[in-house]
Amino acid sequence: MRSISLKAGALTLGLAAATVGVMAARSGPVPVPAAQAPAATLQSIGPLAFGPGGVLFAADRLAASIYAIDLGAQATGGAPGAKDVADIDKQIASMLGTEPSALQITDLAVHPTSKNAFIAVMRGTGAEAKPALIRVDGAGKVSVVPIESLSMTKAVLPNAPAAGTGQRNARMESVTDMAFVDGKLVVAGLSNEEFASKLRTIPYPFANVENGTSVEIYHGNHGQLETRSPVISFVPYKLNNTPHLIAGYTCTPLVKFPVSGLAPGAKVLGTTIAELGAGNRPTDMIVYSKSGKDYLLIANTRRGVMKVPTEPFATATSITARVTTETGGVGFESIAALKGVEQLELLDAQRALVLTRADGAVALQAVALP
Amino acid sequence: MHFRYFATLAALTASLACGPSAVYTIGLNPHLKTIDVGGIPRAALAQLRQAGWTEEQWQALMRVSVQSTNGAAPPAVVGRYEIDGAVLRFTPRFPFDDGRPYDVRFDPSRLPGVQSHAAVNPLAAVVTLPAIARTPSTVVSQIYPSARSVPANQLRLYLHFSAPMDRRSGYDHVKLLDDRGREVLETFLPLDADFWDRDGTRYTVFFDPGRVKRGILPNRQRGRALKPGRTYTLVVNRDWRDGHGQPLKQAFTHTFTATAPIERALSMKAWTIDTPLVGTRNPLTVTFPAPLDHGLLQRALGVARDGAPLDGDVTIEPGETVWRFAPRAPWLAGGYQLVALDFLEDLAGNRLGRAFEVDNFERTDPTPQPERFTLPFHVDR
Repeated sequence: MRSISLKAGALTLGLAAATVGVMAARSGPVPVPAAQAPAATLQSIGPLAFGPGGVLFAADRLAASIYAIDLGAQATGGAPGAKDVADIDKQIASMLGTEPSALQITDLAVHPTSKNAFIAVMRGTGAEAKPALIRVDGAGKVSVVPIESLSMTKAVLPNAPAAGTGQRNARMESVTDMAFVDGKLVVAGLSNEEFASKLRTIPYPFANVENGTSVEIYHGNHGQLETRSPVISFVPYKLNNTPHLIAGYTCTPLVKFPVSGLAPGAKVLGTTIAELGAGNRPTDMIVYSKSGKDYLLIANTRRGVMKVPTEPFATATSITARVTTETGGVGFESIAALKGVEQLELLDAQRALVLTRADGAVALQAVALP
Repeated sequence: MHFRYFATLAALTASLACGPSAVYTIGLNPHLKTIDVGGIPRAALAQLRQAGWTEEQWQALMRVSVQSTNGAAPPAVVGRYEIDGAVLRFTPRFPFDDGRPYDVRFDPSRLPGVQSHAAVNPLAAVVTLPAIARTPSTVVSQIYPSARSVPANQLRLYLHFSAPMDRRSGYDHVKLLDDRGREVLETFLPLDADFWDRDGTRYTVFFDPGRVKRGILPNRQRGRALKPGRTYTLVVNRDWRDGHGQPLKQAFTHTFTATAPIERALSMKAWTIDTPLVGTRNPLTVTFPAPLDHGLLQRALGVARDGAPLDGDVTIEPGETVWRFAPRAPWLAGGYQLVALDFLEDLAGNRLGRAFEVDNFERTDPTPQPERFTLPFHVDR
């Protein structure tokens, strides 16, 4: 037997929380005040994204929260830049007193000015798993960042079960990707119940969390209006000087939509500009310039790393007919030299920083942009 | 005062050396789960308290590391160094793993202001928290949908476990066999996202929507994983680890038959409501023509009076076609509303007023989806 309460304000209980969220979709943002988070309150960590002034956004799925962490002096380990570290998983595991198999690497981010690498990990795989933030500096020095001593603010995602009462509402949301765009943090979420796309925009400094924006995309490979596939990875990118998101979905349309469309409760018609093949999932994407042209670099679960010229994006017409071939729309080039890429970040104008897995070991590597 | 621990932990210390003028002890404090070094001269302790050392300086004096298996010295375990009474204490940033051996190296020559120790060789010890003897005990306790027949466009299922599980993806531990015992390949969505609930006792398995949805390339190439009229067995491998790293007590199987796909929107008009008697706390009973999603039924359906939600207890009958609601306070005579939120779904992802498959070439829904559906009912004397 389960107990539910429908009293107004009973936000800890599942149906009531959902009701409030839905009602808020009609009336505007859910007023969830930002709070100065007590130190060391992260229950989980990942993904990561850097924001203005080097603030580090870290998603905490178990607390249904996003933290904005002021790294302060922790922004650099001393030497700027990033250096290759073979067996980075073993090094991190040893520093955390365990073995690589007990480590879950949840994201990689590059500090915008120090260019040091920040790696989010969970130490442990069971209920006892704890979050840790790792920094690798330009000398290859690996350090554990003392998160508990840093100042941070947090935004609590709406519709999330309150901590400690999860047994009443088994719905949980994973954050699949985040990016700071046009003054706001854009958060892509994925639920363990509804198979749906959920994008949220959170103004920063945190004031409130707007209700999820329902993004409706036309999925060329599906031949139908598709609203239910989750965004797995995205990057902000300007098309005709207008901020857009370029988003990758499961099996694997590439979609553009304007950031201005991400209003609370809105439905946004995205434009499918490419089909990158079925049975695949984009894990990370970055945008870079080379020889005066912009490219999108996409790491995939099954189809390796793809280089996509962005020049056609602005004028690309939506894929509206059923795509009968494996891929369609804007063309791409497969980068065979990049294998086993699990995390991909832009390091500088010439290089990307990647975490690759080969023969069971994870390496941190700076690689030339193709 | 902590030395009593060392005596009891002698067995945990593989090697222990002594300096010419001081007897050092290295031991695991079983209560604090710290490593304590005793025997340090009082003068050195006083200086250590004031030292303000960097982590590297502390590690030069006392280094704790995961025991090496290949001879190479792994990086030191990160933690806090402090002087507590007469001992130098190392508290790891994360608790030591049970049963894992850790190397401890203590170099008295690094002690401040104690010249007589300069020639003393570093001391080495191995400390290990007792391994907790565990036997596999976790089982799959329930599966939803619980019925023995599901539509061929089934979208997800929930596996409930008797204890918290390893939080990593369960994708590799679940497979589907056809009625000849052959594995149906690429059935489930290969996402390594965290589909656990908060407690780690419920895992959501999504069928790959690329095969479920009509017209998608995988669907056109291979069709749906489930064919109407065929029987399948879902197998949960025993090697799936629980939260303590133990495999399941036993493998789990669930055999079911696929029926015709359901590709139409839900309608509350098809539900039947059995109203309770006024003045009682007897449950309201709502019966659906086909099973609804077990997870969503628990939070997407409720009862309101004059628009105000009611407190109450919900039960879902096996088969997920009957939902009951018993209010905290007795029913009053008059009107109530059964409230359904728009994300309530059946087994195939169809929602109220909107089918999972909305084909753009056939029809689209031009109006925004209402978020809240209500069905009025009366409780009479």
